[in-house]
Amino acid sequence: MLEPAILTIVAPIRKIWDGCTAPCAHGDDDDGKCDRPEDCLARLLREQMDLGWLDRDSRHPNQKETGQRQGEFDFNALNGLHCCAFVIAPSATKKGFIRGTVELDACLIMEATFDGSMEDFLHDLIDTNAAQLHRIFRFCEGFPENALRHPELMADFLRRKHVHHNTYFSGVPGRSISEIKTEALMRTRLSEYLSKTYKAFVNGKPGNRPRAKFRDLQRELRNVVRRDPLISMTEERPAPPWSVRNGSLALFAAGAALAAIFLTLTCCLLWCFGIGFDDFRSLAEARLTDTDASLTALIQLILMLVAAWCGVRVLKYLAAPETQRRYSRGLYYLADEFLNLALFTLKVAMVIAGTAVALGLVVRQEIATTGAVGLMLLIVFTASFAFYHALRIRAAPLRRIEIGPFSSHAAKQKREMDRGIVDTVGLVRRLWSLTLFPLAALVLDQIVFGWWWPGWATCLLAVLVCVTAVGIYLLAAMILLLVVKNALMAIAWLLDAIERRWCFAPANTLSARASQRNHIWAREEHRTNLSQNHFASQTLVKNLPRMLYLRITLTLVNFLARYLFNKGVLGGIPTIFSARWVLLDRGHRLIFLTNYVGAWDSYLGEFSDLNAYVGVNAIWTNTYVPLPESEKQRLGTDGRDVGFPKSSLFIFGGAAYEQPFKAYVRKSQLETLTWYGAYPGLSVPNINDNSRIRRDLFRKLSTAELDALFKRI
Amino acid sequence: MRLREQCGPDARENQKVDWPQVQSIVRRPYKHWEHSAHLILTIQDTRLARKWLQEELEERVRFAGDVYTLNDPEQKFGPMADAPVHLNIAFTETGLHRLGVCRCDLETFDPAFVEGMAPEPEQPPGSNKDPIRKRGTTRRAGILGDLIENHASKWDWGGIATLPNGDHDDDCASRVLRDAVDILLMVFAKDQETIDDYVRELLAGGAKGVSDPLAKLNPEKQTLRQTFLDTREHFGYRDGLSQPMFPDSKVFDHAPERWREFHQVAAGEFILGYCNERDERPESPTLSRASFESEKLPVQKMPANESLEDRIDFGRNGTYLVARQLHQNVGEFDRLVHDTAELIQGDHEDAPLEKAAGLLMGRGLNGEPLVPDPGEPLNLHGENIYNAYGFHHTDAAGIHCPIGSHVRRTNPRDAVKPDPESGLTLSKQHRILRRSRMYGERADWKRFKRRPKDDETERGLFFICLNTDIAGQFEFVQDSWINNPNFGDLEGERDAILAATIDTRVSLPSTPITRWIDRSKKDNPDDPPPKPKPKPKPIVEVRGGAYFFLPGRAALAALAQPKHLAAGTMLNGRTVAEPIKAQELDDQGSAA
Repeated sequence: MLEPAILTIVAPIRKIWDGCTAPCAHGDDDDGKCDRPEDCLARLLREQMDLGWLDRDSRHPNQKETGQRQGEFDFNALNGLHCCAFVIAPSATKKGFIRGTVELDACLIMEATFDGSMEDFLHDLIDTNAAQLHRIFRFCEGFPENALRHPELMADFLRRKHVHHNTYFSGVPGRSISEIKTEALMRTRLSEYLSKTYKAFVNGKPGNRPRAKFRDLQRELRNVVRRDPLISMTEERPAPPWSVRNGSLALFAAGAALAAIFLTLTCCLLWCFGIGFDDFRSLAEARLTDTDASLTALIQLILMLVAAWCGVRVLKYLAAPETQRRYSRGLYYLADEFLNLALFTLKVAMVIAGTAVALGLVVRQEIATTGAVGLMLLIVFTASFAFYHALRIRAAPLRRIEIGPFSSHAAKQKREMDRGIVDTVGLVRRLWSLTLFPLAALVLDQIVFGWWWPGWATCLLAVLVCVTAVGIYLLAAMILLLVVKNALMAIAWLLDAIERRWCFAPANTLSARASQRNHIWAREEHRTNLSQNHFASQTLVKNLPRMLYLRITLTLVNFLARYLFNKGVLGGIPTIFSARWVLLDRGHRLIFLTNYVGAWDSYLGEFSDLNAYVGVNAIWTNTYVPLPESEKQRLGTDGRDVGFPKSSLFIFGGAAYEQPFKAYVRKSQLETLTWYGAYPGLSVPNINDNSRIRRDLFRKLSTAELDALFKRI
Repeated sequence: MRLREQCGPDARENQKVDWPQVQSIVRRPYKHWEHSAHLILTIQDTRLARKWLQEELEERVRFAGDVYTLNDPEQKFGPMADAPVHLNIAFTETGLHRLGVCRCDLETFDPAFVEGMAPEPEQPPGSNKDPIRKRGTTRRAGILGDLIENHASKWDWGGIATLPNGDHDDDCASRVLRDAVDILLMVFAKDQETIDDYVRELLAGGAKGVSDPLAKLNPEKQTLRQTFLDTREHFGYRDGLSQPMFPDSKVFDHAPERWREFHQVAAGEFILGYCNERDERPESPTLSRASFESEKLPVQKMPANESLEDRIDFGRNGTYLVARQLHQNVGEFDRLVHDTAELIQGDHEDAPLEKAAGLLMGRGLNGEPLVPDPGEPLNLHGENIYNAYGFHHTDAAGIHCPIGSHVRRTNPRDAVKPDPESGLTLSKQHRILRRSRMYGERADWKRFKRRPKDDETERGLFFICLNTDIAGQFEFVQDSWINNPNFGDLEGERDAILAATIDTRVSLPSTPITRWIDRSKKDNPDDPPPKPKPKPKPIVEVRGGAYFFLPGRAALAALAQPKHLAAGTMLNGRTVAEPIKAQELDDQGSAA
């Protein structure tokens, strides 16, 4: 499976460039003075960006390519290229309390997303566009002069300038470019076919049934796909990349690791207060006498529970939707609910029994503090497992009943009542699960083993010890959490207050309005209102604590983007093709590059209206936009730079204030000088939808699923 | 530079609009007075225009408070009901500048308003060889869909002189360019004669300091001087059915609860100075106190810096007004309806033409919703109107009301992602208040039965909408909903009625399969090649448009009040380069 690779080349631009006059004299204008190399380069790159590829791909499929202009970047020659953009990050001066004044150079940034390995891509790139690359990159420091004659030197230069991204998100993970394009073609072909044969389907042949059956239609569509050589490859779809398949596993592992770390911390804390595991052990030891017998009994109990669990699984399978038509609807819901409860109970009981066994083993073999950590891990896993199930309200059966229109106020009330019931059920379950530890053991004990097993009291005792331990650890953990949280809050508040007073004025709309900046976003929307757009921004990182926090946040977001948000949606936003954050200059500045679908306003609006603002705040609240002195005067900021809109605790507020947030983003925006996208007419939901159609078309589906499939086409 | 205090949900529900300060068109569409005129005016002389404004402010400009105080069914318009003509006035950015608002103050207005509906393509600094800019289109043109046939260089008024290929149009003297559009004057009266008399008097001899550039250029095309309201618009649909409601209006009190749920929108979405759906106060333009002083206008401190002078809140009780003259090609529309009817035949044996027209619009010709369960009706003027419905629960896939149909695109209600509840909240943040009128010769509504024929008659809709955030409301609807090819997970479709280009398609889903209406291609390639037909035109063409600011009473008074002339104002048809003090003007006047 190909996972598109990404390349971010950041190359500082030379301070002095003798050849600057050459490209300037190239044009026939006099007013544009190219005094700085980066202006010169910007002009050059602007001219690169011919939107011919936009026209050709989306609006006039029959029109032939009008011919490459001299010296223009030939993106179409690069087969595996998803998107590519050139941006110049301007130079900036950053004044800091701790690390003094830092001069940041202007940099040329090239971002590319492509299929295959970086080596292959660089090879292809230099193969097809050596002259263009030379024209552009000779502005950069350290670019080999004789690169045109020695492509390997150029490749080496590009490789050296590649910067690893801090955070990367892809809306269409794990799809190669040919896959995306072929699937889009498949969808078009299918819809054309359906459109063409519509009359035949509706009217049918005389004597036949008026409407074709869904399954016939599916078969026919399959044949359409199989017959067409261009799209027949769509039949087998390669497996999605590892990160998509095993996202939940990775998340769970990360959660477990975090829990272990936290637990160790708690242990240390408890140890400081003189509470060790020995206390629990001695408590249990004092009461447990016949350990051997109780252990045997507990192992028996576990075996019984496993058997019961298997039985319930079978029952659940029988009650699954595929088999449900055997029962009446209401019975099904009842059974489903009951079996869910039973399954859950059994799981918890098994875990408790397992814990008790472990406890017993520890007690018997007198493993003291060495075994304590392992046992405590077990306890925490048990607790987190129970909590996980307790907090996850499985209200699906009741919700399923209320699907359908609600026509009047009464219906709405009923709906709310239903929701109330669901909430009550959830609440009861939560409470119930908390009391489950002793209760489940007791009940099982009494019912199943009460009459022949003498060790029930022992078992109960073990469980009680377990509960006490968990309780004490949780309490300690809570205290630790509170301390950490309050410390963080104090730091955040202090930082905020200091920065607001002395350094950064909150963004206001006026600051984004200087009309001379209009050209920066003039390229959005282009002229045909196509789906895709590109956005780039540069912000400076506020100070050292902020930078540390920013690094942690970026790593976290990167992890989540890879394993949690890998279905095309980032924090509820379905319009992001790709987004990458790169920290440059040892973390002094933050570059954000993104390809998105739709208009800038709605894209940014989604950030502030949906929950994604939490993530945006966590990142951008650590940054500011420097203002030149003249503009500080004009905007009346008291000598302060423009900071992110007021946020609290790093994650609240901030981007939720729509207009200041948009102003800040506009203020930090960089001009996208050159940009290429391989499939400008498709949106993220389109691509994910097409893949789903392809998958569903070759699967056995129920009639309802088939109906949904045809609706999608 | 904005009122930053946030408002909680309570403040949003309970806020009282200061109606006597708000121009009446915000509150009422003047349903009782069907005749009106919409004049595009240029300011020739700032002093005279100010005097005229002052007069009209006392006599004819109407405010919503007047309307509300009276419940008399005969005299619907309050104590000044005997005034035969009612005016509402809005200004463009150039208009405000010519009335003395300096460029520095104009920067505090909505950027979209300052830039205008059709900005000239800009050159980035240091380059005039830019391949995109050479094409003469701008970002805004892409957003609004003003491309190809609707390009601003073809507009009658409000357009630009740069052609789509980037050249300068030397022949633009036949059009009123955007610089000449200063004022939109909306004149309402009981009959057409009163309006005509008023307009004649207004423009006679330039004594009021304003002129009508459209009349000068094109004396025979005076369609905007006779605008009107009718039960149906030219295509034959009922119009203006779904409007957002303010919490303290009379309709609101009668409306069933589900109506409120769908259509109650905070006043801040339509009037500046109030809380909007995001629980923020939308940004209100401010003026420096030096040039405009009015006791009625509150002074606000700059939040960013206390050392700057206080500024007056000019935007309070005002709003932004979007006006577009949309020509309707009735012949083309009929053809589309007939094509669609042919396509859906077999599905709907009964009256396929009406059905087809309904599918394209998203509502039936009589305004009946297409979704199966349209909620409770509201009885307005003896008629049941259904509007309390959403799409998500009844028609998420667009089987009944196609996702790409016009009405569903312009207001998707609760079908906005991610879920119906937040979808409704999100879509409410982009509602607009429509105050459109028709112009031109009325089309026959019963014409569907006949074969479609070409119809070149000049008729259409003078589209007006009110909002406080042009980019977030009007432009958002245009761009993210109407012109968005990926709207609602569609692929490569446009609004059937408003699409600027003709090679777009619309899908009509049904069970089991979807059909496409494709105006540029024949559906079945196996069919014999059709006879060469004339190239289809867009169904709706833009004839002109501009963004206006509709000031409140105090702001209007402030505009009319200064005596001196700032740079950029007009004196005897010429632009004033250097500021002239009031005293000098008096001296000049006495010398003359």
